[in-house]
Amino acid sequence: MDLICVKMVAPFELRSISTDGEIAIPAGTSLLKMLLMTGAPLYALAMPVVVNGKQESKSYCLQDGDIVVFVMPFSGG
Amino acid sequence: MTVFFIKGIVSQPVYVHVHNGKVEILPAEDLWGKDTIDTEDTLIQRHGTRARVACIGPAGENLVRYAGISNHHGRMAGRSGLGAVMGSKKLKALVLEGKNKVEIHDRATIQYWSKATSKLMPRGKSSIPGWVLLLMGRIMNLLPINIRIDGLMSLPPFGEWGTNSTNELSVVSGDAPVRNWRGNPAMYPTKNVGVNRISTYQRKKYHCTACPLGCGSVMEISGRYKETHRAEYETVTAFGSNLLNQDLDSIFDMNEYCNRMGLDSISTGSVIGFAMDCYEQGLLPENLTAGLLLEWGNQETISKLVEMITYRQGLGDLLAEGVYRAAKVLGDQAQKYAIHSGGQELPMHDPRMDPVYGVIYLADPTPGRHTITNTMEYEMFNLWTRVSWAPKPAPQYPKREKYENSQENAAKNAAGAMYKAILDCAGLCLFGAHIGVDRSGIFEMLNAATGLELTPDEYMRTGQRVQDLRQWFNIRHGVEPDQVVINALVRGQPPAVKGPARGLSYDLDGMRRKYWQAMGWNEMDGHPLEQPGLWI
Ligand code: SF4
Repeated sequence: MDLICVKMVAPFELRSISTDGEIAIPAGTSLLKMLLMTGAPLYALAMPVVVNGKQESKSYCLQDGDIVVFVMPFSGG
Repeated sequence: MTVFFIKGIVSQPVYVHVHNGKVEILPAEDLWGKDTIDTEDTLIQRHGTRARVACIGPAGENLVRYAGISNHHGRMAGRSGLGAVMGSKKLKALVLEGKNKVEIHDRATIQYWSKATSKLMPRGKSSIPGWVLLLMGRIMNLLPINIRIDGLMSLPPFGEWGTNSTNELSVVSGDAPVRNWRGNPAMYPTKNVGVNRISTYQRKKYHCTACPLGCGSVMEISGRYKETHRAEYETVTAFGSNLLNQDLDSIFDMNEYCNRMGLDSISTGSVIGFAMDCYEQGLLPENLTAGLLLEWGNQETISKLVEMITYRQGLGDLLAEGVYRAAKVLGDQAQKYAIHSGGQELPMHDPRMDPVYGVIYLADPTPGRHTITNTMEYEMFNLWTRVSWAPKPAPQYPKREKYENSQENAAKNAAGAMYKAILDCAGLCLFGAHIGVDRSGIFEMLNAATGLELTPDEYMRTGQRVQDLRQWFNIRHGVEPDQVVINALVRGQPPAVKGPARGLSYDLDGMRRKYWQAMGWNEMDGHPLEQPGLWI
């Protein structure tokens, strides 16, 4: 099985993730599947996500080297 | 880098024109009385489109104590009354022209970091619905833990709506003051200031030179002005929840008016909130109000008051002095409605929700400043990845730890303040810095730009010395750091009985002592331990 490496920036802890946020998953894994695999909290499913800066749905098929960022509003400014 | 020191006062209005290093002082009688946008247009017409203008409006001319300096058609250096300093010198504007290129020691390294940062920026239009942002904010609020936010997470909404992305969230979370800081979120429905509504005004986006994030936007408005820069969160809140004003048209109109008159919108909204509180409590004599109904949310009154402040008419003359001085005139009872630190009206972030604001509002050399550091920003800066002594916050920790008067919290605050001093000196944007020092390569870029080979710790030491200098400047001018007073309400005294800040208070004096210590200053009087020597 081919593995790909994805970097996650998330406001919650995930299983099997390295200290710098990287995770190895089977090629062809969707974002939703990856969240379920890694034990993300339920509210994560409702959170908007950007992949490499572009907003994507949870059905997005992850690619090697993707940077997945969960969106959180920042209060300030 | 060139720095201008402008000494003395002239009797007739002038402006300073700098052209390829040649400095001229030119008459400005024809500009006096013009608003900031007319002034800039006139000077650009006179000196050509390559000229850049910083100018004041009528508020600065009339020495309103919170007048600011405008550039780029109403982008304001708003705080601390610098426009009044220019006005006091009868200096209407500074016009710069030059052809010299900025020399860079190592262009390739700058380009490397510039490309790396651009890759992280959001692409395309954000279609995140406003309710999702609000919901996430509510979830964060309900959690008993604080989650360390990575700056990348906030980029998409920030790129789309700028600081307005949290207008609603800040109200419901208790960060935004409501009704001159004495209200609570239940008093202010936020829908009208949310991103969905803001989007309907957004005509075109823009960015500062070469910025890949581009948080700016031009808004199409109706009424006396056709457009305005998208009002920042601070302005929307100062004229919105702070005054119980739900009318976004009126808020945008005030934004444009303040920009044109050269007023700090934070202080202007605050001083009107103060006046409304005093009116309600019967503390404003009738001869001052002259029939004006200073009721919460009354847009006509708000608009009239801003004009009266600009031209120092009637009650406006008193309010132009700011809340601290106005309260002194109105008597002891008015003091509690004057929300300030060291005379500066407080920005729109409630320290009861994040005590780091309290420490900075009270203990920074420029009191009442929201752009130095706070809990979330420190966590976004990722300083611990570069600076040997900067504490690394846990990914999640109990919210109560924010309120602890600990050495670790003090070290974070000091690190945040030193880093911000570096950003300011380098002319860098605070919002861009949210992606973290490791991803933005700020220290590496500073070395590449200058040819220096300083370590991150050495840069932080530079930031510390900048803070030392600012502190010594105050002391030299008779402003003793330990004499700065902040309104007790923001310490949680007395504790709020309703809303998110209910029951919250913290040991602000103790936190200030520890912060000063962490800055290398005397913990009791705030004097830097290192003497200024020749550098002041
Ligand atoms: S430099 Fe800062 S203020 Fe200017 S557009 Fe970029 S993020 Fe916004």
